Amino acid sequence: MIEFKHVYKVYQADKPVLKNINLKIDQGEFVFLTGHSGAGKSTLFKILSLQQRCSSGQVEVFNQNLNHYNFTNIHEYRRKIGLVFQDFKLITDQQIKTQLALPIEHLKLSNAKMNERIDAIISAVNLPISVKEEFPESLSGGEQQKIALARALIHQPELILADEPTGNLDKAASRFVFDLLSDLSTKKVTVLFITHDESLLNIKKHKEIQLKNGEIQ
Amino acid sequence: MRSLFNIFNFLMIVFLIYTQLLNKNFNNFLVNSDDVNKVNIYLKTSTEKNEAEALISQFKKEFQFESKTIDKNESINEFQKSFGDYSKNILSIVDIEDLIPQVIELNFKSESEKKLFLESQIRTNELVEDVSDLSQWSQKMINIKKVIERYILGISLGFFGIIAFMTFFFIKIIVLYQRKLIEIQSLFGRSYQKIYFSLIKQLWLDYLLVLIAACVFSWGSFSLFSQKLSVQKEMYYISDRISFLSIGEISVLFVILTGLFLVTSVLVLKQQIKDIYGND
Repeated sequence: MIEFKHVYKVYQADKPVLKNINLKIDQGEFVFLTGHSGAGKSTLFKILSLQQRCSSGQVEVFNQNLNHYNFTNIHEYRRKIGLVFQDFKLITDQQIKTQLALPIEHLKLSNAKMNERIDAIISAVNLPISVKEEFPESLSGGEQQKIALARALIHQPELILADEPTGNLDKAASRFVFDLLSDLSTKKVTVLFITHDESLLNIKKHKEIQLKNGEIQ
Repeated sequence: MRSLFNIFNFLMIVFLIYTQLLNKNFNNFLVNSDDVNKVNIYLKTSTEKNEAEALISQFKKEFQFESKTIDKNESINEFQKSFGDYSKNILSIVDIEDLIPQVIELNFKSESEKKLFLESQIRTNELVEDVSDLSQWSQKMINIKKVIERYILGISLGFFGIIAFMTFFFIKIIVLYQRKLIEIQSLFGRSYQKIYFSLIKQLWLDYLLVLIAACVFSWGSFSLFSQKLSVQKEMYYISDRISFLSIGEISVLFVILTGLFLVTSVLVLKQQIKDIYGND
């Protein structure tokens, strides 16, 4: 599913952010990616979400080298993955339903089908259906992250990449997000969960990849 | 930001149209300025039509030219055409017919032929009141026309340059302003092409509306100005001779402007969105 082969990421010549990363994550696995601040977790996330390219080495996802994608076909890859961010990345001046429709707009569903999908995903993240008419500003941080989760899941991706998704949430909301993503692995969805929250690591045993100074420990 | 861009474009297009109007109407006033081989012979007011014809036949024996005789009635008509209502007022108080001479316009094949004619005894002919050589006047007019045309061309090129630069600048800012939105849309699977086409559609629609609005505004303000002039007696003859750009002239201006806008917007927008989508 995900394979890193001798991956380096260098911003400044003498300070590589990622050094010789070799890792393999299989389909349906739930993997924690941990490490202190500046260890290279977010850089790895950005490489996997194609926000950045590695400086050398090779990254394969869905058996496809990520270098295959450029600005004209990057959407094909992003439609197969779901992204969750610490800062939610919701669009402040758009209604929730518009934002949830974004990942499935290319499916060209009828309005009824689209609404059905939106309602179903809102229920799945434990929010009232009426929330779809709201704007992000009127929701709490926990609710916003649930919407962000819903947006990452609505197109039923095979891979979820979550960068510190619980970083801005209280304990209860964090637990909800973790449980939801953790359950996905039972449905053959691969989840890469980036966190430095040690309490989450002990809730349920999952594979852990620890980064330190850009290297896997 | 889009509104600011539209207001700027509107003003630039109005300025451009007015620059072209200035050019066109200066040329209207300087019309016939290139009649360098033309000589006007003003006959004495007592000269009869057949005497004028005999005089032309006599000249034709020695020189090559095309001629046109403007009799008194035609002169009065020309005067009325040039001065409109103002001429009617004059004609009503002065019996001008006795004061207006017949005029023979001679158009020579070459400047040397014209020179030879002017060196002949024409000025001393008993039927001739005065001979007017238009070449000096024409040359002055041609020079003025050239200077005006050069200035207008320079100003127009300046406007085109400003429009291209500001289109480049504003599109960069508009994309920068929407960068976060575009980034999020991109992260959640919206294609580069879809974002590009939705933005370019928005920009072109705005541009077309601005173009039409600027044209309507220019035409309206010009008509109003022309109407204001026409009600002032001393300005009537000016309002009678100025005109708005023809459909052809407007079309040429639109084609150049639209081409400039399309090329700049396509190139800049494509690069800007590519930069957001592209990754290092």
